[in-house]
Amino acid sequence: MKPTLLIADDEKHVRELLKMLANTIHLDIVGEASNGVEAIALFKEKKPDIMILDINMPRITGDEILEELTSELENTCVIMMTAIVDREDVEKCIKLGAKYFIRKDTPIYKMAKSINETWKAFELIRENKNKEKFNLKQLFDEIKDDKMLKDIV
Amino acid sequence: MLDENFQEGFEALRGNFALKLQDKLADLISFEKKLEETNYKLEVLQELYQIIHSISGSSGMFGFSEISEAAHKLEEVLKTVIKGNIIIEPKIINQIKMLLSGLKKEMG
Repeated sequence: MKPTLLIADDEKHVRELLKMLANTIHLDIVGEASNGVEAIALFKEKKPDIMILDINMPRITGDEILEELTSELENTCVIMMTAIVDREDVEKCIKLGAKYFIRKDTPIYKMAKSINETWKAFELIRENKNKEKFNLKQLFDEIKDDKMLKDIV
Repeated sequence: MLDENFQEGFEALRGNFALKLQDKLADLISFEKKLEETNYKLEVLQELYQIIHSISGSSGMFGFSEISEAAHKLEEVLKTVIKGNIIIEPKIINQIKMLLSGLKKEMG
C-alpha cells in the first residue's frame, strides 16, 4: 500500500508541483489544503502518513497548525516547507512534532529524495514503536489472563 | 528518481508560473504607489512581505533562483522591520526601495 499524503500550501502552482512530485515517488495524495483551517480539517479526516506543510499560510500558519494537532501527530511524518529557514521557526516546529524542513528553493530532485528518505526513516521508527506497543499489550494481556504468573509458578 | 514524464510536466508548470510572475510584477508596480502614498506604513509593509514571501518561495521551487534570491533579500529586511527590530527610518525605506527595484529588474 502506498503511503498517504496531505499537502498544505496556499499557492496552487506549488501544490500542483508537489502533487506531481508525490506521484513520481509513489505517494497516495489524500488531500490538498490551501489554508490552515482546511489543513486541520483534512488532517483529522484523513490521518495521513505524511503531511507536507507550508509555514506561511493565511488564516492559520503552519506552526499554529502543529500546535493545534501536536497530540495527534504520532503516526504522521510532518515535513515543513518554507521559503526561509528561520532558526526560531525550526526549533519551534521540531518541538511541536515536525520531522524535517525543506527550503522551497531546494532543487526538485533533492526535494523528492529528502521527502522519500524522511518518510523511510519515520516509517521504520513508527513500525518499531508499534511493535513495542504490541509486545507490551501482549504482555499485559498475558498478565491479565494470569498465564505469566502460572508459568512462573 | 524523476523520470521524463515528470520533467515534461515540470516544464509545463514552470511555464505557467513564469506567466504568473508577470502578474505578480504588475502587482508589485502598483503596490509601490501604495507604499509611497502611505509613507511605508508598517501595515502596508506587512502586506508587501506576504507578496514577497510568496515570490521568494515559489520562484525558488520553479528554478528561478535569481528572482528567489532578490526576493529573499527584501524579505529578510521586511521581516526584521515587521518584528520591530528596526525603526522605519529613511535609510531603511531607501534599502527597501533599492531591493524592490532589484527584484523588479529580475522579474522583468
